[in-house]
Amino acid sequence: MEKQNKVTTAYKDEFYPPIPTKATKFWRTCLIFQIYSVLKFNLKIMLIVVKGHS
Amino acid sequence: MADITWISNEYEVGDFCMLIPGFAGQPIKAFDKNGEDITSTVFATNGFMKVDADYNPKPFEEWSIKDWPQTYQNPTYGNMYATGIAFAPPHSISKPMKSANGRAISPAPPRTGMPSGVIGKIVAENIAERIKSGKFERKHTANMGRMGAACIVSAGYNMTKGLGATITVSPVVPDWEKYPDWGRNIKSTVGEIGLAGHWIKLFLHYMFLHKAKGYPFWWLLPE
Repeated sequence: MEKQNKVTTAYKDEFYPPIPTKATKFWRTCLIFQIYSVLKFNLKIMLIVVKGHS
Repeated sequence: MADITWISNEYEVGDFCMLIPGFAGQPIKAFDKNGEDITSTVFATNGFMKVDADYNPKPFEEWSIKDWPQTYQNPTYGNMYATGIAFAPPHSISKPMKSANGRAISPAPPRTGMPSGVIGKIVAENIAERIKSGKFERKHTANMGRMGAACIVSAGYNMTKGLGATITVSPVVPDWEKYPDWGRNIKSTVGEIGLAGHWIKLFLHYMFLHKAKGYPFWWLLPE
């Protein structure tokens, strides 16, 4: 039997997710920058937790 | 292209479809000590328990964080509380929309995880103070319009190459009076993917288990 190749395309171009660039991927795993991010996010989360309680 | 055929033979076509069960409470019945059915007094029509929220129907333009509950106590029966996803929200968070076919799209508010932990904690504290002092002061409150939340989604496990999406929202329910532009504090409402998210999630796993098991200084760890 002939195998049909199913091609799936989105209805509109904007339905495709944004593809990360090389630079974006680099910063996501750059140790020094991510160590800074850990400190930044921990501070943000702590402030959220403290402000959220009565 | 995804074609989904519903039970009623109504077709909905879209690029991505997610089928989830209806977000509703359990079909629990409630009876008072005289045996009278008080289900409609205790529970909303969606099965969630009514609490100290403003359930009067109002248009989206009149929604406010003051509609949301503070102490999560049933207004009629003060010995009942509903925390987390058990309480009946006054309305949804986002503006109700409709699809091209007229199907209602009304996102439900996220009441799991961090918000539930905070709500459960303040309810427990209020109950404990009531038992200890005999007074009913309800000092502790947790309005979702004044509460922030953080969520971390794992996206790969590796200490140097793993990823996690860290999402913080403040407040959970938009406060358009305090933040007229976006409804939320833009500096505190962020989302970022990176190694930091993975490390934080790993740390939180150990932290939560440390707290759950009641290890030393567990009471210092926040919700």
